[in-house]
Amino acid sequence: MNKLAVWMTRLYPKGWRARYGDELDALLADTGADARVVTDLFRGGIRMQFKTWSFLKLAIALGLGGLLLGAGVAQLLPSIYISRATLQIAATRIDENMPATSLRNGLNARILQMETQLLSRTELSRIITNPRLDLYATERKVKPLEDVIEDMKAAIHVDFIALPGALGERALAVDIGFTYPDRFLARQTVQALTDRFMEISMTPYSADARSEGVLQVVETPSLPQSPISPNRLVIVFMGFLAGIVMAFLWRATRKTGFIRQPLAIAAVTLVITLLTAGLSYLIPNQFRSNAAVQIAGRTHEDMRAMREQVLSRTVLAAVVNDPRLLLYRDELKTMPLEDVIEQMKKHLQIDLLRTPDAILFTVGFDGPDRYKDQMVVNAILDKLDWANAQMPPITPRPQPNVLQSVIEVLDQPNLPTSPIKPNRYVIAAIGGIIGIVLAALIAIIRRRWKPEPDFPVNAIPE
Amino acid sequence: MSDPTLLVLASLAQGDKHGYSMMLDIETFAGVKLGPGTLYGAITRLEQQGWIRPVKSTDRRRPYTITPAGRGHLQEQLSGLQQVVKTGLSRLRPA
Repeated sequence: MNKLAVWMTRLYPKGWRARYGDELDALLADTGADARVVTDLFRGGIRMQFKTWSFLKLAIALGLGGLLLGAGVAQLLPSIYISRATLQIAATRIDENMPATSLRNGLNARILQMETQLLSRTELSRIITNPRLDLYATERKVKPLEDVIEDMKAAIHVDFIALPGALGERALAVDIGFTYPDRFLARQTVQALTDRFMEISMTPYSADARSEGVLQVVETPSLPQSPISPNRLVIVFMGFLAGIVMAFLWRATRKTGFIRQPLAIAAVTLVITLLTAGLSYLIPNQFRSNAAVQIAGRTHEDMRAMREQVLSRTVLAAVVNDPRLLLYRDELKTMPLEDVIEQMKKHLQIDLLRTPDAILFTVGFDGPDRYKDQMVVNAILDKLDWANAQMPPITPRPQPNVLQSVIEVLDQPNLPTSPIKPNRYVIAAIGGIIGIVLAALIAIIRRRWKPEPDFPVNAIPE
Repeated sequence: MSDPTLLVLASLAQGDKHGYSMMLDIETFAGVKLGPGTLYGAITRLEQQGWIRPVKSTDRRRPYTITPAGRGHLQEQLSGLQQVVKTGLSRLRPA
Protein backbone atom coordinates (compact mmCIF):
# COMPACT_ATOMS: atom_id res chain seq x y z
CA MET A 1 0.00 0.00 0.00
CA ASN A 2 2.93 2.35 0.73
CA LYS A 3 4.26 1.77 -2.78
CA LEU A 4 0.81 2.49 -4.21
CA ALA A 5 0.67 5.72 -2.23
CA VAL A 6 4.06 6.75 -3.64
CA TRP A 7 2.73 6.02 -7.15
CA MET A 8 -0.27 8.22 -6.45
CA THR A 9 1.98 11.15 -5.53
CA ARG A 10 3.37 10.96 -9.06
CA LEU A 11 -0.08 11.99 -10.32
CA TYR A 12 0.59 15.48 -9.02
CA PRO A 13 1.97 18.01 -11.55
CA LYS A 14 5.74 18.32 -11.82
CA GLY A 15 5.74 21.93 -10.64
CA TRP A 16 3.66 21.04 -7.64
CA ARG A 17 5.90 18.13 -6.68
CA ALA A 18 8.96 20.36 -6.95
CA ARG A 19 7.38 22.62 -4.34
CA TYR A 20 5.52 20.24 -2.03
CA GLY A 21 6.78 16.77 -2.92
CA ASP A 22 9.24 16.37 -0.06
CA GLU A 23 6.70 17.59 2.50
CA LEU A 24 4.08 15.19 1.22
CA ASP A 25 6.54 12.28 1.35
CA ALA A 26 7.41 13.20 4.94
CA LEU A 27 3.72 13.33 5.84
CA LEU A 28 3.12 9.90 4.30
CA ALA A 29 6.03 8.53 6.30
CA ASP A 30 4.28 9.79 9.46
CA THR A 31 0.70 8.72 8.62
CA GLY A 32 1.38 5.49 6.83
CA ALA A 33 -0.80 4.48 3.88
CA ASP A 34 -4.05 2.63 3.75
CA ALA A 35 -6.82 2.44 1.15
CA ARG A 36 -8.32 5.72 2.35
CA VAL A 37 -5.01 7.55 2.02
CA VAL A 38 -4.37 6.10 -1.45
CA THR A 39 -7.84 7.17 -2.63
CA ASP A 40 -7.37 10.63 -1.14
CA LEU A 41 -4.03 11.04 -2.92
CA PHE A 42 -5.55 9.85 -6.21
CA ARG A 43 -8.37 12.42 -6.01
CA GLY A 44 -6.01 15.18 -4.94
CA GLY A 45 -3.59 14.40 -7.77
CA ILE A 46 -6.29 14.44 -10.46
CA ARG A 47 -7.75 17.71 -9.12
CA MET A 48 -4.34 19.34 -9.08
CA GLN A 49 -3.69 18.16 -12.64
CA PHE A 50 -6.94 19.73 -13.85
CA LYS A 51 -5.94 23.00 -12.24
CA THR A 52 -2.65 23.11 -14.07
CA TRP A 53 -3.18 21.35 -17.35
CA SER A 54 -2.89 23.24 -20.55
CA PHE A 55 -5.74 23.07 -23.04
CA LEU A 56 -3.97 20.49 -25.18
CA LYS A 57 -3.56 17.98 -22.36
CA LEU A 58 -7.12 18.60 -21.20
CA ALA A 59 -8.46 18.14 -24.72
CA ILE A 60 -6.57 14.87 -25.16
CA ALA A 61 -7.66 13.53 -21.77
CA LEU A 62 -11.31 14.55 -22.08
CA GLY A 63 -11.40 13.63 -25.76
CA LEU A 64 -10.12 10.13 -24.99
CA GLY A 65 -12.48 9.87 -22.04
CA GLY A 66 -15.40 10.95 -24.22
CA LEU A 67 -14.38 8.48 -26.91
CA LEU A 68 -14.31 5.59 -24.43
CA LEU A 69 -17.60 6.67 -22.85
CA GLY A 70 -19.19 6.99 -26.29
CA ALA A 71 -17.92 3.55 -27.26
CA GLY A 72 -19.32 2.14 -24.01
CA VAL A 73 -22.72 3.74 -24.57
CA ALA A 74 -22.76 2.50 -28.17
CA GLN A 75 -22.24 -1.06 -26.95
CA LEU A 76 -25.28 -0.76 -24.70
CA LEU A 77 -27.56 0.32 -27.55
CA PRO A 78 -29.46 -2.54 -29.20
CA SER A 79 -28.40 -3.47 -32.72
CA ILE A 80 -30.96 -3.20 -35.50
CA TYR A 81 -30.77 -5.52 -38.50
CA ILE A 82 -32.54 -5.42 -41.84
CA SER A 83 -33.52 -8.43 -43.86
CA ARG A 84 -34.55 -8.04 -47.51
CA ALA A 85 -36.14 -10.08 -50.24
CA THR A 86 -36.60 -9.15 -53.89
CA LEU A 87 -39.53 -10.27 -55.99
CA GLN A 88 -40.43 -9.75 -59.60
CA ILE A 89 -44.06 -9.16 -60.45
CA ALA A 90 -44.99 -9.59 -64.09
CA ALA A 91 -48.48 -9.05 -65.50
CA THR A 92 -49.76 -11.44 -68.11
CA ARG A 93 -52.58 -10.61 -70.51
CA ILE A 94 -55.62 -12.81 -70.57
CA ASP A 95 -57.02 -10.79 -73.46
CA GLU A 96 -54.32 -10.54 -76.18
CA ASN A 97 -55.96 -7.42 -77.61
CA MET A 98 -55.38 -5.49 -74.40
CA PRO A 99 -53.25 -2.41 -75.18
CA ALA A 100 -49.80 -2.19 -73.56
CA THR A 101 -50.62 0.99 -71.64
CA SER A 102 -53.64 -0.71 -70.09
CA LEU A 103 -51.40 -3.58 -69.04
CA ARG A 104 -48.87 -1.24 -67.42
CA ASN A 105 -51.56 0.87 -65.72
CA GLY A 106 -53.25 -2.27 -64.53
CA LEU A 107 -49.99 -3.59 -63.09
CA ASN A 108 -49.31 -0.34 -61.22
CA ALA A 109 -52.82 -0.24 -59.79
CA ARG A 110 -52.65 -3.91 -58.89
CA ILE A 111 -49.36 -3.53 -57.02
CA LEU A 112 -50.69 -0.50 -55.15
CA GLN A 113 -53.70 -2.51 -54.11
CA MET A 114 -51.54 -5.47 -53.04
CA GLU A 115 -49.24 -3.22 -51.00
CA THR A 116 -52.20 -1.56 -49.28
CA GLN A 117 -53.63 -4.97 -48.40
CA LEU A 118 -50.26 -6.30 -47.20
CA LEU A 119 -49.75 -3.31 -44.90
CA SER A 120 -53.32 -3.26 -43.63
CA ARG A 121 -54.05 -3.49 -39.94
CA THR A 122 -55.53 -6.98 -40.33
CA GLU A 123 -52.50 -8.45 -42.09
CA LEU A 124 -49.93 -6.86 -39.83
CA SER A 125 -51.67 -7.78 -36.60
CA ARG A 126 -51.83 -11.37 -37.85
CA ILE A 127 -48.06 -11.37 -38.45
CA ILE A 128 -47.27 -9.66 -35.14
CA THR A 129 -49.31 -12.11 -33.07
CA ASN A 130 -48.17 -15.21 -35.01
CA PRO A 131 -46.84 -17.47 -32.20
CA ARG A 132 -43.85 -18.55 -34.35
CA LEU A 133 -42.78 -14.89 -34.64
CA ASP A 134 -44.22 -13.22 -31.50
CA LEU A 135 -42.97 -9.83 -32.68
CA TYR A 136 -42.65 -6.82 -30.37
CA ALA A 137 -43.45 -9.01 -27.35
CA THR A 138 -42.12 -6.45 -24.83
CA GLU A 139 -43.81 -3.49 -26.54
CA ARG A 140 -47.16 -5.29 -26.65
CA LYS A 141 -47.13 -5.57 -22.86
CA VAL A 142 -46.98 -1.77 -22.45
CA LYS A 143 -48.51 -0.35 -25.66
CA PRO A 144 -51.83 -0.83 -27.44
CA LEU A 145 -51.65 -3.09 -30.51
CA GLU A 146 -52.51 -0.10 -32.74
CA ASP A 147 -49.26 1.59 -31.71
CA VAL A 148 -47.29 -1.61 -32.26
CA ILE A 149 -48.79 -1.91 -35.76
CA GLU A 150 -47.65 1.64 -36.51
CA ASP A 151 -44.17 0.73 -35.25
CA MET A 152 -44.12 -2.27 -37.57
CA LYS A 153 -45.32 -0.18 -40.54
CA ALA A 154 -42.40 2.16 -39.96
CA ALA A 155 -40.03 -0.83 -39.90
CA ILE A 156 -41.30 -2.30 -43.21
CA HIS A 157 -39.81 -0.96 -46.45
CA VAL A 158 -41.50 -1.77 -49.77
CA ASP A 159 -39.60 -0.29 -52.71
CA PHE A 160 -40.48 -0.64 -56.36
CA ILE A 161 -37.70 -0.86 -58.90
CA ALA A 162 -38.29 -0.33 -62.62
CA LEU A 163 -36.89 -3.05 -64.85
CA PRO A 164 -35.08 -2.24 -68.08
CA GLY A 165 -36.11 -2.95 -71.63
CA ALA A 166 -39.23 -4.73 -72.81
CA LEU A 167 -39.57 -6.53 -69.47
CA GLY A 168 -40.11 -3.16 -67.82
CA GLU A 169 -43.32 -2.70 -69.84
CA ARG A 170 -45.09 -5.44 -67.95
CA ALA A 171 -43.03 -6.18 -64.83
CA LEU A 172 -41.63 -4.52 -61.74
CA ALA A 173 -39.17 -5.61 -59.08
CA VAL A 174 -40.30 -5.23 -55.49
CA ASP A 175 -37.84 -5.04 -52.61
CA ILE A 176 -39.39 -5.94 -49.24
CA GLY A 177 -37.32 -5.12 -46.17
CA PHE A 178 -37.94 -5.30 -42.43
CA THR A 179 -35.80 -3.86 -39.61
CA TYR A 180 -35.77 -5.54 -36.22
CA PRO A 181 -33.35 -6.09 -33.31
CA ASP A 182 -33.36 -9.91 -33.78
CA ARG A 183 -31.83 -10.82 -37.15
CA PHE A 184 -33.44 -14.26 -37.29
CA LEU A 185 -36.89 -12.83 -36.66
CA ALA A 186 -36.19 -10.11 -39.22
CA ARG A 187 -35.61 -12.78 -41.85
CA GLN A 188 -38.63 -14.85 -40.78
CA THR A 189 -40.85 -11.76 -40.90
CA VAL A 190 -39.70 -10.88 -44.43
CA GLN A 191 -40.45 -14.50 -45.38
CA ALA A 192 -43.96 -14.13 -43.90
CA LEU A 193 -44.51 -10.84 -45.77
CA THR A 194 -43.25 -12.33 -49.01
CA ASP A 195 -45.48 -15.41 -48.65
CA ARG A 196 -48.51 -13.24 -47.99
CA PHE A 197 -47.66 -10.95 -50.93
CA MET A 198 -47.58 -13.99 -53.20
CA GLU A 199 -50.92 -15.26 -51.84
CA ILE A 200 -52.55 -11.87 -52.49
CA SER A 201 -51.26 -11.91 -56.06
CA MET A 202 -53.05 -15.22 -56.84
CA THR A 203 -56.45 -13.63 -57.45
CA PRO A 204 -57.11 -12.34 -60.99
CA TYR A 205 -57.44 -8.60 -61.31
CA SER A 206 -59.16 -6.22 -63.69
CA ALA A 207 -56.61 -4.12 -65.59
CA ASP A 208 -58.88 -1.16 -66.01
CA ALA A 209 -58.94 -0.73 -62.30
CA ARG A 210 -60.19 0.22 -60.01
CA SER A 211 -63.77 -1.01 -59.29
CA GLU A 212 -65.44 2.00 -60.76
CA GLY A 213 -67.69 4.04 -58.54
CA VAL A 214 -66.48 2.28 -55.40
CA LEU A 215 -64.55 4.15 -52.69
CA GLN A 216 -61.13 2.53 -52.39
CA VAL A 217 -58.77 3.24 -49.55
CA VAL A 218 -55.31 4.23 -50.79
CA GLU A 219 -53.94 5.06 -47.34
CA THR A 220 -55.72 3.88 -44.20
CA PRO A 221 -56.23 6.43 -41.41
CA SER A 222 -52.88 6.73 -39.69
CA LEU A 223 -52.30 6.55 -35.94
CA PRO A 224 -49.89 9.44 -35.43
CA GLN A 225 -46.80 8.62 -33.40
CA SER A 226 -45.55 12.13 -32.70
CA PRO A 227 -47.38 15.45 -32.36
CA ILE A 228 -47.40 18.08 -35.11
CA SER A 229 -47.25 20.77 -32.44
CA PRO A 230 -45.81 22.12 -30.26
CA ASN A 231 -42.29 21.87 -31.66
CA ARG A 232 -40.54 21.31 -28.36
CA LEU A 233 -37.09 21.32 -29.90
CA VAL A 234 -37.60 24.87 -31.13
CA ILE A 235 -39.07 25.94 -27.79
CA VAL A 236 -36.14 24.48 -25.83
CA PHE A 237 -33.67 26.12 -28.20
CA MET A 238 -35.40 29.50 -27.70
CA GLY A 239 -35.21 28.88 -23.94
CA PHE A 240 -31.49 28.16 -24.28
CA LEU A 241 -30.91 31.45 -26.14
CA ALA A 242 -33.06 33.35 -23.65
CA GLY A 243 -31.05 31.78 -20.79
CA ILE A 244 -27.76 32.95 -22.27
CA VAL A 245 -29.09 36.49 -22.83
CA MET A 246 -30.55 36.70 -19.31
CA ALA A 247 -27.36 35.40 -17.73
CA PHE A 248 -25.20 37.98 -19.51
CA LEU A 249 -27.66 40.78 -18.72
CA TRP A 250 -27.66 39.79 -15.06
CA ARG A 251 -23.88 39.67 -15.05
CA ALA A 252 -23.68 43.14 -16.60
CA THR A 253 -25.76 44.59 -13.76
CA ARG A 254 -23.77 43.05 -10.91
CA LYS A 255 -20.19 43.65 -9.82
CA THR A 256 -20.33 40.93 -7.15
CA GLY A 257 -22.44 37.93 -6.30
CA PHE A 258 -23.15 34.52 -7.74
CA ILE A 259 -23.28 35.68 -11.35
CA ARG A 260 -19.63 36.79 -11.21
CA GLN A 261 -18.51 33.27 -10.34
CA PRO A 262 -17.14 30.83 -12.89
CA LEU A 263 -19.74 28.70 -14.63
CA ALA A 264 -22.54 31.04 -13.47
CA ILE A 265 -23.49 31.74 -17.08
CA ALA A 266 -23.73 28.03 -17.81
CA ALA A 267 -25.73 27.38 -14.63
CA VAL A 268 -28.26 30.15 -15.31
CA THR A 269 -28.58 29.07 -18.96
CA LEU A 270 -29.17 25.45 -17.91
CA VAL A 271 -31.85 26.43 -15.39
CA ILE A 272 -33.73 28.63 -17.89
CA THR A 273 -33.46 25.93 -20.57
CA LEU A 274 -34.80 23.22 -18.25
CA LEU A 275 -37.59 25.52 -17.09
CA THR A 276 -38.58 26.22 -20.70
CA ALA A 277 -38.49 22.50 -21.52
CA GLY A 278 -40.75 21.78 -18.55
CA LEU A 279 -43.18 24.56 -19.45
CA SER A 280 -43.37 23.28 -23.04
CA TYR A 281 -45.01 20.12 -21.70
CA LEU A 282 -47.85 22.24 -20.35
CA ILE A 283 -48.76 23.05 -23.95
CA PRO A 284 -51.13 20.31 -25.11
CA ASN A 285 -50.02 18.12 -28.01
CA GLN A 286 -51.76 18.24 -31.35
CA PHE A 287 -51.68 15.07 -33.44
CA ARG A 288 -52.82 14.66 -37.03
CA SER A 289 -54.28 11.53 -38.57
CA ASN A 290 -54.34 11.29 -42.39
CA ALA A 291 -55.96 9.03 -44.96
CA ALA A 292 -56.39 8.97 -48.73
CA VAL A 293 -59.14 7.40 -50.83
CA GLN A 294 -60.05 7.32 -54.49
CA ILE A 295 -63.25 6.68 -56.37
CA ALA A 296 -62.52 5.62 -59.92
CA GLY A 297 -64.80 7.03 -62.58
CA ARG A 298 -65.84 10.12 -60.61
CA THR A 299 -65.11 13.50 -62.12
CA HIS A 300 -63.48 16.40 -60.32
CA GLU A 301 -66.85 18.18 -60.13
CA ASP A 302 -68.48 15.06 -58.64
CA MET A 303 -65.82 14.83 -55.97
CA ARG A 304 -66.03 18.53 -55.19
CA ALA A 305 -69.77 18.17 -54.70
CA MET A 306 -69.17 15.18 -52.41
CA ARG A 307 -66.67 17.22 -50.41
CA GLU A 308 -69.19 20.04 -49.94
CA GLN A 309 -71.80 17.54 -48.86
CA VAL A 310 -69.52 16.02 -46.19
CA LEU A 311 -68.54 19.46 -44.91
CA SER A 312 -72.18 20.50 -44.57
CA ARG A 313 -73.67 21.34 -41.22
CA THR A 314 -75.92 18.28 -41.17
CA VAL A 315 -73.16 15.76 -41.81
CA LEU A 316 -70.64 17.32 -39.42
CA ALA A 317 -73.31 17.61 -36.72
CA ALA A 318 -73.84 13.85 -37.08
CA VAL A 319 -70.10 13.28 -36.62
CA VAL A 320 -69.92 15.59 -33.58
CA ASN A 321 -72.94 13.88 -32.00
CA ASP A 322 -71.71 10.35 -32.77
CA PRO A 323 -71.80 8.62 -29.33
CA ARG A 324 -68.73 6.51 -30.22
CA LEU A 325 -66.56 9.57 -30.82
CA LEU A 326 -67.54 11.80 -27.86
CA LEU A 327 -66.18 14.87 -29.64
CA TYR A 328 -66.08 18.32 -28.09
CA ARG A 329 -68.03 17.25 -24.98
CA ASP A 330 -66.82 20.23 -22.90
CA GLU A 331 -67.34 22.74 -25.71
CA LEU A 332 -70.91 21.55 -26.33
CA LYS A 333 -71.77 22.41 -22.72
CA THR A 334 -70.84 26.08 -23.24
CA MET A 335 -71.11 26.74 -27.00
CA PRO A 336 -73.89 26.28 -29.54
CA LEU A 337 -73.50 23.38 -31.97
CA GLU A 338 -72.93 25.80 -34.89
CA ASP A 339 -69.83 27.20 -33.21
CA VAL A 340 -68.55 23.74 -32.36
CA ILE A 341 -68.94 22.71 -36.01
CA GLU A 342 -66.99 25.81 -37.10
CA GLN A 343 -64.27 24.87 -34.62
CA MET A 344 -64.17 21.33 -36.00
CA LYS A 345 -63.82 22.64 -39.56
CA LYS A 346 -60.63 24.46 -38.55
CA HIS A 347 -59.05 21.12 -37.64
CA LEU A 348 -60.50 19.08 -40.52
CA GLN A 349 -58.96 19.01 -44.00
CA ILE A 350 -60.63 17.33 -46.97
CA ASP A 351 -58.68 18.08 -50.14
CA LEU A 352 -58.71 16.86 -53.71
CA LEU A 353 -55.39 15.69 -55.08
CA ARG A 354 -54.84 14.99 -58.75
CA THR A 355 -52.45 12.17 -59.61
CA PRO A 356 -51.63 10.83 -63.09
CA ASP A 357 -53.98 7.88 -62.53
CA ALA A 358 -56.78 9.24 -60.38
CA ILE A 359 -58.20 12.02 -58.24
CA LEU A 360 -57.78 11.36 -54.56
CA PHE A 361 -59.51 12.62 -51.45
CA THR A 362 -56.96 13.34 -48.73
CA VAL A 363 -58.54 13.57 -45.30
CA GLY A 364 -56.79 14.89 -42.21
CA PHE A 365 -57.94 15.74 -38.71
CA ASP A 366 -55.85 17.17 -35.88
CA GLY A 367 -56.61 17.08 -32.19
CA PRO A 368 -55.05 16.35 -28.81
CA ASP A 369 -56.09 12.66 -28.71
CA ARG A 370 -54.39 10.63 -31.46
CA TYR A 371 -56.73 7.65 -31.15
CA LYS A 372 -59.75 9.93 -31.47
CA ASP A 373 -58.17 11.71 -34.44
CA GLN A 374 -57.89 8.35 -36.22
CA MET A 375 -61.52 7.52 -35.38
CA VAL A 376 -62.69 10.90 -36.72
CA VAL A 377 -60.84 10.34 -40.02
CA ASN A 378 -62.50 6.91 -40.23
CA ALA A 379 -65.89 8.53 -39.61
CA ILE A 380 -65.25 11.11 -42.37
CA LEU A 381 -64.31 8.30 -44.78
CA ASP A 382 -67.65 6.65 -43.95
CA LYS A 383 -69.38 9.94 -44.75
CA LEU A 384 -67.52 10.18 -48.07
CA ASP A 385 -68.67 6.64 -48.85
CA TRP A 386 -72.25 7.68 -48.00
CA ALA A 387 -71.93 10.83 -50.17
CA ASN A 388 -70.61 8.66 -53.03
CA ALA A 389 -73.70 6.43 -52.74
CA GLN A 390 -75.92 9.53 -53.08
CA MET A 391 -74.29 10.41 -56.42
CA PRO A 392 -75.63 9.05 -59.72
CA PRO A 393 -74.25 5.55 -60.41
CA ILE A 394 -71.37 5.26 -62.88
CA THR A 395 -72.05 3.31 -66.08
CA PRO A 396 -69.57 0.42 -66.07
CA ARG A 397 -67.26 0.27 -69.09
CA PRO A 398 -67.84 -2.65 -71.45
CA GLN A 399 -65.55 -5.74 -71.54
CA PRO A 400 -63.19 -5.05 -68.70
CA ASN A 401 -59.82 -6.61 -69.43
CA VAL A 402 -58.55 -9.07 -66.93
CA LEU A 403 -54.90 -9.72 -66.25
CA GLN A 404 -53.02 -12.00 -63.93
CA SER A 405 -49.75 -11.29 -62.15
CA VAL A 406 -46.96 -13.79 -61.78
CA ILE A 407 -44.54 -13.40 -58.92
CA GLU A 408 -41.05 -14.79 -58.98
CA VAL A 409 -38.68 -14.58 -56.02
CA LEU A 410 -35.39 -13.13 -57.25
CA ASP A 411 -33.67 -13.01 -53.84
CA GLN A 412 -34.80 -15.01 -50.82
CA PRO A 413 -34.93 -13.16 -47.48
CA ASN A 414 -31.35 -12.83 -46.30
CA LEU A 415 -30.03 -13.40 -42.78
CA PRO A 416 -28.25 -10.13 -41.96
CA THR A 417 -24.78 -10.48 -40.49
CA SER A 418 -24.12 -6.93 -39.35
CA PRO A 419 -26.50 -4.33 -37.94
CA ILE A 420 -27.53 -1.22 -39.87
CA LYS A 421 -27.55 0.77 -36.66
CA PRO A 422 -26.33 2.05 -34.33
CA ASN A 423 -23.18 3.30 -35.99
CA ARG A 424 -20.87 2.69 -33.05
CA TYR A 425 -17.92 4.47 -34.61
CA VAL A 426 -19.95 7.64 -35.07
CA ILE A 427 -21.24 7.50 -31.48
CA ALA A 428 -17.72 7.02 -30.11
CA ALA A 429 -16.47 9.90 -32.29
CA ILE A 430 -19.29 12.14 -31.03
CA GLY A 431 -18.26 11.26 -27.45
CA GLY A 432 -14.69 12.28 -28.29
CA ILE A 433 -15.81 15.58 -29.84
CA ILE A 434 -17.97 16.39 -26.82
CA GLY A 435 -14.94 15.72 -24.60
CA ILE A 436 -12.81 18.14 -26.62
CA VAL A 437 -15.51 20.81 -26.57
CA LEU A 438 -15.83 20.37 -22.81
CA ALA A 439 -12.05 20.78 -22.47
CA ALA A 440 -12.24 24.01 -24.47
CA LEU A 441 -15.02 25.34 -22.23
CA ILE A 442 -13.12 24.45 -19.05
CA ALA A 443 -9.93 26.06 -20.39
CA ILE A 444 -11.77 29.25 -21.41
CA ILE A 445 -13.64 29.58 -18.12
CA ARG A 446 -10.59 28.78 -16.05
CA ARG A 447 -8.41 31.26 -17.92
CA ARG A 448 -11.08 33.94 -17.72
CA TRP A 449 -11.84 33.71 -14.04
CA LYS A 450 -8.99 31.98 -12.34
CA PRO A 451 -5.29 32.71 -12.81
CA GLU A 452 -2.93 29.85 -13.55
CA PRO A 453 -1.75 28.31 -10.30
CA ASP A 454 1.85 29.01 -9.40
CA PHE A 455 3.97 26.81 -7.18
CA PRO A 456 7.09 28.96 -6.81
CA VAL A 457 9.92 27.03 -5.23
CA ASN A 458 11.51 30.35 -4.28
CA ALA A 459 8.51 31.07 -2.00
CA ILE A 460 10.27 28.90 0.57
CA PRO A 461 12.21 31.18 2.91
CA GLU A 462 15.95 30.61 3.21
CA MET B 1 -17.65 22.53 9.68
CA SER B 2 -15.59 20.44 7.28
CA ASP B 3 -14.03 22.95 4.90
CA PRO B 4 -10.32 21.93 4.90
CA THR B 5 -9.02 25.49 4.38
CA LEU B 6 -10.84 26.80 7.46
CA LEU B 7 -9.73 23.82 9.53
CA VAL B 8 -6.08 24.43 8.56
CA LEU B 9 -6.34 28.15 9.36
CA ALA B 10 -7.98 27.36 12.71
CA SER B 11 -5.19 24.92 13.49
CA LEU B 12 -2.45 27.40 12.56
CA ALA B 13 -4.15 30.17 14.55
CA GLN B 14 -2.89 28.36 17.63
CA GLY B 15 0.72 28.35 16.38
CA ASP B 16 3.02 27.17 13.59
CA LYS B 17 2.66 23.53 12.62
CA HIS B 18 3.78 21.09 9.97
CA GLY B 19 1.41 18.85 8.07
CA TYR B 20 1.21 15.90 10.40
CA SER B 21 0.69 18.13 13.45
CA MET B 22 -2.09 19.92 11.62
CA MET B 23 -3.80 16.59 10.83
CA LEU B 24 -3.66 15.46 14.45
CA ASP B 25 -4.78 18.84 15.78
CA ILE B 26 -7.72 19.01 13.36
CA GLU B 27 -8.77 15.48 14.26
CA THR B 28 -8.72 16.46 17.93
CA PHE B 29 -10.70 19.72 17.79
CA ALA B 30 -13.00 19.04 14.83
CA GLY B 31 -13.24 15.24 14.72
CA VAL B 32 -12.31 15.37 11.02
CA LYS B 33 -9.57 13.15 9.64
CA LEU B 34 -8.04 14.91 6.64
CA GLY B 35 -6.18 12.81 4.11
CA PRO B 36 -2.71 13.92 2.94
CA GLY B 37 -4.05 14.84 -0.50
CA THR B 38 -6.85 16.94 0.94
CA LEU B 39 -4.55 18.60 3.45
CA TYR B 40 -1.97 19.60 0.89
CA GLY B 41 -4.66 20.71 -1.52
CA ALA B 42 -5.83 23.11 1.20
CA ILE B 43 -2.26 24.20 2.00
CA THR B 44 -1.67 24.90 -1.72
CA ARG B 45 -4.81 27.08 -1.97
CA LEU B 46 -4.05 28.91 1.28
CA GLU B 47 -0.50 29.68 0.26
CA GLN B 48 -1.64 30.92 -3.17
CA GLN B 49 -4.14 33.25 -1.44
CA GLY B 50 -1.42 34.54 0.88
CA TRP B 51 -3.19 33.37 4.04
CA ILE B 52 -0.36 31.08 5.18
CA ARG B 53 3.32 30.95 4.43
CA PRO B 54 6.06 28.37 4.96
CA VAL B 55 8.47 28.77 7.87
CA LYS B 56 12.21 28.22 7.60
CA SER B 57 13.13 24.68 8.54
CA THR B 58 15.90 22.16 7.91
CA ASP B 59 13.50 19.22 8.25
CA ARG B 60 11.43 17.81 5.38
CA ARG B 61 8.43 18.37 7.64
CA ARG B 62 8.00 22.03 6.79
CA PRO B 63 5.96 24.09 9.24
CA TYR B 64 3.53 26.78 8.15
CA THR B 65 2.39 29.95 9.83
CA ILE B 66 -0.79 31.95 9.41
CA THR B 67 -0.38 35.44 7.98
CA PRO B 68 -2.22 38.55 9.16
CA ALA B 69 -4.38 38.33 6.04
CA GLY B 70 -5.10 34.73 6.94
CA ARG B 71 -6.15 35.71 10.44
CA GLY B 72 -8.47 38.35 9.03
CA HIS B 73 -10.05 35.82 6.66
CA LEU B 74 -10.48 33.25 9.42
CA GLN B 75 -12.04 35.86 11.72
CA GLU B 76 -14.51 36.86 8.99
CA GLN B 77 -15.50 33.27 8.18
CA LEU B 78 -15.91 32.24 11.81
CA SER B 79 -18.00 35.32 12.63
CA GLY B 80 -20.32 34.43 9.79
CA LEU B 81 -20.54 30.84 10.99
CA GLN B 82 -21.14 32.00 14.56
CA GLN B 83 -24.13 34.05 13.44
CA VAL B 84 -25.53 31.03 11.64
CA VAL B 85 -25.00 28.79 14.67
CA LYS B 86 -26.57 31.37 16.99
CA THR B 87 -29.63 31.81 14.78
CA GLY B 88 -30.07 28.07 14.21
CA LEU B 89 -29.82 27.23 17.91
CA SER B 90 -32.28 29.95 18.89
CA ARG B 91 -34.78 28.62 16.36
CA LEU B 92 -34.40 25.09 17.64
CA ARG B 93 -35.12 26.16 21.21
CA PRO B 94 -38.71 25.28 22.12
CA ALA B 95 -41.00 28.35 22.12
